[in-house]
Amino acid sequence: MSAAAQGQRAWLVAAVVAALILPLFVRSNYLLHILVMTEIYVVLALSLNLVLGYAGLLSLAPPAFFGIGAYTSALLALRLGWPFWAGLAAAGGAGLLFAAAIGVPSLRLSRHSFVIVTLSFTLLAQLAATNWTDLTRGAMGLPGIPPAAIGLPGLGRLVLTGKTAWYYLMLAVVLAALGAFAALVRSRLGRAIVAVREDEVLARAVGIDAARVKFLAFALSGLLGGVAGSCYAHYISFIDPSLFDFYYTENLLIMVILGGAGTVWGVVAGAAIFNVVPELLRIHPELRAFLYGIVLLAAISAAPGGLAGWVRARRAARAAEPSRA
Amino acid sequence: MLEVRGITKRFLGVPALRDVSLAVHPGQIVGLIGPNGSGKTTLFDCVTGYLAADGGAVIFRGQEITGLSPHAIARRGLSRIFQQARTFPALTARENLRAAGQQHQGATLAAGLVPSPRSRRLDRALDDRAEELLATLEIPGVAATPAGTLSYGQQKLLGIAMALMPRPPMVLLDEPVAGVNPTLIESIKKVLRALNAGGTTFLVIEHNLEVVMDLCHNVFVLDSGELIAQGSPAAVQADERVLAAYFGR
Repeated sequence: MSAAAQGQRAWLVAAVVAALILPLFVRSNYLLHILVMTEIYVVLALSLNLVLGYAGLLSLAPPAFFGIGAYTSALLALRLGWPFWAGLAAAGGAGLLFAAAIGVPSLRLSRHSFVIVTLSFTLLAQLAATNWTDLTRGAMGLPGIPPAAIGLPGLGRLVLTGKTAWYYLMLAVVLAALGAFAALVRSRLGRAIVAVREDEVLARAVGIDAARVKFLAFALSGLLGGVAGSCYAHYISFIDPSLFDFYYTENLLIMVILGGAGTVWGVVAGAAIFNVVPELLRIHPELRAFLYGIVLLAAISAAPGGLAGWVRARRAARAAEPSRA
Repeated sequence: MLEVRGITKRFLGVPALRDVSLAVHPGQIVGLIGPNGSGKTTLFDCVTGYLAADGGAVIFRGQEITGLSPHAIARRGLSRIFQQARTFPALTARENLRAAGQQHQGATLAAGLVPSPRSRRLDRALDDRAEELLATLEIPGVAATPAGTLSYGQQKLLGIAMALMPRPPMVLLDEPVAGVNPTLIESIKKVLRALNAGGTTFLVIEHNLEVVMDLCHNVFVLDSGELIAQGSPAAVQADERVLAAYFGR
């Protein structure tokens, strides 16, 4: 193993250990809540990162898949009594199916038209959630979504009600999602996705089926979004059509772009920073949206590669600097 | 090896290619020349599936490939190198070469999702081939460098290496020596000759007539979308219609 890979592994182990022991030091339920929300956002940010950072497609639909996953899971639990794990799988499947269904026509369009279609889809999903009252109860929302319960063989069922239990459940989901994501972007498919982002014409000339690669990236982003939505619904126990608000899209864009689209750790850091800092600063939500816009503009001008890009550039500059003895 | 039969292409009714037919036999280096705007690159686009021809057919190794998409044509062994040095700029040279070779190994995209002995073996084969090509093209040591930071000449060579990754039986080259310094021209010529001696067939668009005369066994001349001459380099160079097309009537 190279020194760089060893260093990376050490960082990874340290991060996982820190994440495991973090609740021992956090006594306040409020802070734990922020941490759980951060975990949910990490999964959702990975969904946007896959299409925006890796495939180079600006999709404004991740909140739609998030909402679809939340509603799918909530309705299955409330109406049919499905257990959490089954609902989670169904929500991922629903996100995947909807992404596939709108991916087929929209990915044939130009990149600009694609942005508009994904935005329209999010707005349509919100309209459906608001007006299909027989199914969704419209603006009244769906209260009383049961918390996750894990069946332990011989020990009965463990119902997750406390914040600490949720923190660890979500940590497991996040680690699984991160592991799958890292494996994906290092695989042949991941390489093909990046090749299409870098130069689609050349990618096709070397035998890469660009249309299919973009479709797969988009469909998988739907899956991740659906999974995040299901976790959210069972954690918060109440959902309504405001899930599809553009506010969430903006939040997500900030996390992914400022963290460093196209990297794994940068986006995790982005999700953490932009969940924790605004909460600690207690900024009014509407002022926050306004400030986010300014921060986003400033950051794109100053550090277009986000946090991860900035760190990489610093590292390269340090390596290039002649050593001063 | 490659047969183009009566290809016609119009852009908004304006003919860009009129009933162009040509044949490239196995083992040949064939030149395609003509003034700017005569339809050379359009012909490449029609052959490789980037443009749909309005009429005619393309036969590659005995099979019709007309209407297939670019990736499907590439996977059949017809590689293409573009006029501008095209690479995947953010990827390292090695990753560029892996991306260029991976679709030709007969494995699906999903095959590498879960690391397996097979996927590791496939990746190792790509890396071995990549090292070999970087050495052949005399750009060793760039494997870990992002392609976008290489010099123009190095990017051009990397582009050639990418097209060669799958050991294609035939390569279409669009101006391989344009914008390249004289030393590099010689080394590109050397590489093409060596590959040709190894059995690779080439169809080359080139404005540098010295290179064409030097390399090609046979030359086709396009003017205003029509084939106006063909034959040995010497014969074509002496052809009156060719001179008229280049220097005016």
